[in-house]
Amino acid sequence: MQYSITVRNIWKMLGYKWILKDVSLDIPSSCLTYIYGSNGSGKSTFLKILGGLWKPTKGKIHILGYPPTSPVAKKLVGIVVHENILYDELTVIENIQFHLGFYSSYNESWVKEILGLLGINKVINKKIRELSFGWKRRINIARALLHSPKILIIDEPLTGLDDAGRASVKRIIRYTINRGGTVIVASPEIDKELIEDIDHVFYKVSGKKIFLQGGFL
Amino acid sequence: MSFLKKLYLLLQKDFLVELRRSYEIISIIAFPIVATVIFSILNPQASTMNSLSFILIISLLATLFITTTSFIREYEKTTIYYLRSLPLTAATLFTAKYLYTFFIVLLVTLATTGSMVIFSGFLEINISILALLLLYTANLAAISSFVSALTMYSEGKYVLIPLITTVYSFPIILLSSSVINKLSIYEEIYWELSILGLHLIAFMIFAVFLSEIIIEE
Repeated sequence: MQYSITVRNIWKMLGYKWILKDVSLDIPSSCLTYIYGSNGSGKSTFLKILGGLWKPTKGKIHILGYPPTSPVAKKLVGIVVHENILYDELTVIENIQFHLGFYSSYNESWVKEILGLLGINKVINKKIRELSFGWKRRINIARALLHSPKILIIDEPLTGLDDAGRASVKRIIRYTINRGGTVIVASPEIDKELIEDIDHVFYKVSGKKIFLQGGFL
Repeated sequence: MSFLKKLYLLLQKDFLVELRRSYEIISIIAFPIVATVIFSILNPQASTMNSLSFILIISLLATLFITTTSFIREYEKTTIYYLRSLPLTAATLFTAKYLYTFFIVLLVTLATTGSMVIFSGFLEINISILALLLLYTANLAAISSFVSALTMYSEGKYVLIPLITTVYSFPIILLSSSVINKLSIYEEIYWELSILGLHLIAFMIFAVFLSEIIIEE
């Protein structure tokens, strides 16, 4: 089996509190990795470390051979965190153009496809601050996908979305895996609809550690 | 993608966001103008040297406010995750924030100088004074960007900003006061201006080198 991400002995301290202790795991390629656990268990922290947004206090991670904070790894990863990270003062299209400006070789037809799949064309000229939470969520997901990343990381992918939004996100996740991509999601509970017909593995976060719970590959 | 293209994209985004938050820019400019009018009323016979000292003080005070619009605003609005998910190094990000801060501090310095000429009429502008104002502004902007990055994750940032900025600015203030004293007795100021220039280069090297560490959470 091929692995997209290898995590070895990760520790993370925030403030004076350990959030993760000695986490080691491998994330297989071309499948869905589902990380679940109760609120405050460290799922979001772990995803932010995988996406290169935070550095671990100790330990090593390799994203297809590169450290997650390196610019090369960031071209390979698309991350959606729980917070809205878009610029409220800018319009949807300005946020998208700003993002794409950093990727010299993006595929224009792919960008159009993603915007269409998530139904973003309707609000393309609106400022982010004028949009609802659900729309912001969709645009955050689109932003993470625009540069065709090999690895997509989404924290609580279905939170705050209506039925149409949930269906779009599920379609995007399947689509990414079918194209040979790797998807990592974190959520307090397992959404059975999300894992239907997709190769997947489960990891449970508990007691500041992450345990393999099984899966179907 | 070249370093300059990335800088351009980051600066373009910062200025567009600033333009959409025009009330902040207006208040930043209004402060030196109002302060200058009050100064002119209280000191109708102020000398060029006193007027110059006043400009330096106003620029320093405005810098304290501008410090909160750099990295700190990105962190408070969670857009720092947007920036950190892009394929950029911390050094590129720091340099872009430095240039943005430099333009804003320069705007304040120019507004104060212009108001001083209009309302006081005692400020005699010459090349030496312009060189001092430019180097002083460039140094303040470097200190401001560094302090903003250094304190963005701290809960006590609004106490730390004036404290750290004043400590770091102390050598600049001492050198600038020496320049003002020498200007008043028509002495050469080449040596002091050179040290101000060298301080800027040394501080930027120090800050860019440390940015990889301090921009991490």
